[in-house]
Amino acid sequence: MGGPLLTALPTHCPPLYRPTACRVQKDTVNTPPHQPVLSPAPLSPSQRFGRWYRRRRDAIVAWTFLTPMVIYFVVMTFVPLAFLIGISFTEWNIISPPQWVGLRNLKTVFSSFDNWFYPRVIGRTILYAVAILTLNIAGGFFVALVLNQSLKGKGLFRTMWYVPSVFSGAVVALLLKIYLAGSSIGVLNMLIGNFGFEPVDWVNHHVWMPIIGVLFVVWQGIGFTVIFFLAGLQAIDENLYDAAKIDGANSRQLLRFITIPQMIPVLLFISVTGLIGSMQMWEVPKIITAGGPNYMTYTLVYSIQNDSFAALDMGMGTAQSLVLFAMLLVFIGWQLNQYRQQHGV
Amino acid sequence: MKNQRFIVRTLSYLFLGVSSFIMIYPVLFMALGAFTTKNRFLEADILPIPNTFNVTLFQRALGAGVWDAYVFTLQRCAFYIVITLFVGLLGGYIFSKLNFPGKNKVFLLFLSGMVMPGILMLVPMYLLMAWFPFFGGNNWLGQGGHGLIGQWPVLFVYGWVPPFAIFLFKQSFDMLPSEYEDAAKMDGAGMFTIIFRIYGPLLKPPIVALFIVTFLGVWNEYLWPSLTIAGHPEFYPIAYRIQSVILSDYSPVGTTDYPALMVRTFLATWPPALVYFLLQRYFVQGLVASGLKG
Repeated sequence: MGGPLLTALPTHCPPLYRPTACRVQKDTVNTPPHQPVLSPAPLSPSQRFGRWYRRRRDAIVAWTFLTPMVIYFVVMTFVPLAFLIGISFTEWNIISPPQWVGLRNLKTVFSSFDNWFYPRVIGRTILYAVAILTLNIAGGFFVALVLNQSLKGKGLFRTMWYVPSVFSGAVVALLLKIYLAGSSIGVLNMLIGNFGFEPVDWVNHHVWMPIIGVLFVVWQGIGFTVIFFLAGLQAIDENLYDAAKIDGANSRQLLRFITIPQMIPVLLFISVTGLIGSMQMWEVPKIITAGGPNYMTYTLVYSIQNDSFAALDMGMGTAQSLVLFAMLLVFIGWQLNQYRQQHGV
Repeated sequence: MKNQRFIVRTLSYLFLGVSSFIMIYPVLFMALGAFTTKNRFLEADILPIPNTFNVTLFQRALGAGVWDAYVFTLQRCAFYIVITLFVGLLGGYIFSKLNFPGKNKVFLLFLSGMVMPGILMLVPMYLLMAWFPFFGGNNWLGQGGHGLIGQWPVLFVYGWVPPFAIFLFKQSFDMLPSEYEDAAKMDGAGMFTIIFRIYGPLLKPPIVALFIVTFLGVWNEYLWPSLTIAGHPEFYPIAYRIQSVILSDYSPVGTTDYPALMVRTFLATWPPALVYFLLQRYFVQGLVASGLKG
């Protein structure tokens, strides 16, 4: 592709730096240093500006556009983060001025206050996150393996697995609320009634409601996992399998020694993004249960919202946000570290 | 051997058929339920069988606010799609094709935004909006009034520098050789011409992927509007509006007109599904290419 001019460009420049590096190269080719310049006439200011601009063109252009972007980004991301940290040291109900209380809010989050209320919220959130992430990754990997064969109608199945992810969590939670309605003619009760089961008061059921909550989050997120695992599987070099088959590997060994090791980068990507998602169950408590029954679905994110905007205790809301943020950072760091140790990078 | 392969294939089809049906069952049930009569809906065994197209139900739902929400939400979608694509392409080009001091540091700064879950920012962003200067009775220090809270610009002022879009486009630009632009530069083309005329057509998959992601994200947004614009139904995005529209006729016990409720959820959910069905090929291509290499 390209004309003679393009192919004449030096190819030894690293691709990332090619535009600038090549331009500099061309100038030096045109005026070799050992040839004295015949008339070293002083440059006019505009010429000097022109030369400066040409030499620094990339940096000038880049920073002209990046400066507003960086300012905007910092104002919208790091200023709120600073607020978040600052407010967590105060007691504040938005209306009257904030009172400095030091570490009291953070201590409350980890204290035995109200029969270990907040530690239990955190523990519950981690428990659900582990359940969601496990189901999501195990299920998603299995479905991707099944879909990775040459089957007819594969695209249709993949679409059907992804469809739940395109809807608003709030809207499908609302739908779930309608389905779960407690009376005997509630939709789910009507359906199980057809098979001879007694109606269940789902929303107030201690065992069913947390399970439904976890399954709801998995249902909404697993399509994403399947798509990424599937792409990862398709990117594995076929030659690896052929070589192993010649050496007499059976299909279980192929999975154990080729497929899974090759999938580690995708697995890492999915577990980091999936973790962030699975720690944030809020649709079910906010729209269906209000944290009930008996706080069984009272998750950390719902607690943050509830304390901040219902109880108007901004200090507690932000303190819990900080705890959630710290947990996410620790988990992500731990996962990246595992990955590094396994791969020696 | 051949027998074993046959068994595996049969089991795969069986598993995929059943599991895929379970995945879409709740939504399929709703979509079919929207086109049944009340009695027919209650007779459903596994799925309600459509037997009517009840225009009145649709008209009633649209009149109860869904139509206004459609118009407002589509305006927001268009606004954010344009911003995301413009800033994303510009940023991606700068980080991929230009060489300047501080490049890696700024790129890392933007990437750090991808790790921060938006949900943590709810409280501080709310305050930032409440302290927005010169709006809602605020002075230049942002004090004295309620700022942008309860005013429609609050749904338009954030998210103008999308880190994910910049990242995705940087990855895509990296895969295109710079020779394309060298030829255009000799003809005197400016940077915007190069980005949108030369590279633009070559970047169709990531552009479409971001179009879908942005559309779905804005269309489905619920939490932020529910906190900042509550009390002004004319500015509710569809996902938030549909809640009040549905709950106005919903009763947890007793006889509920289920098809009427299904019509309303159907009205809120068909556009994302349609956009995904039409464009999913690019979506998978564009997203996966970036995620795996990044």
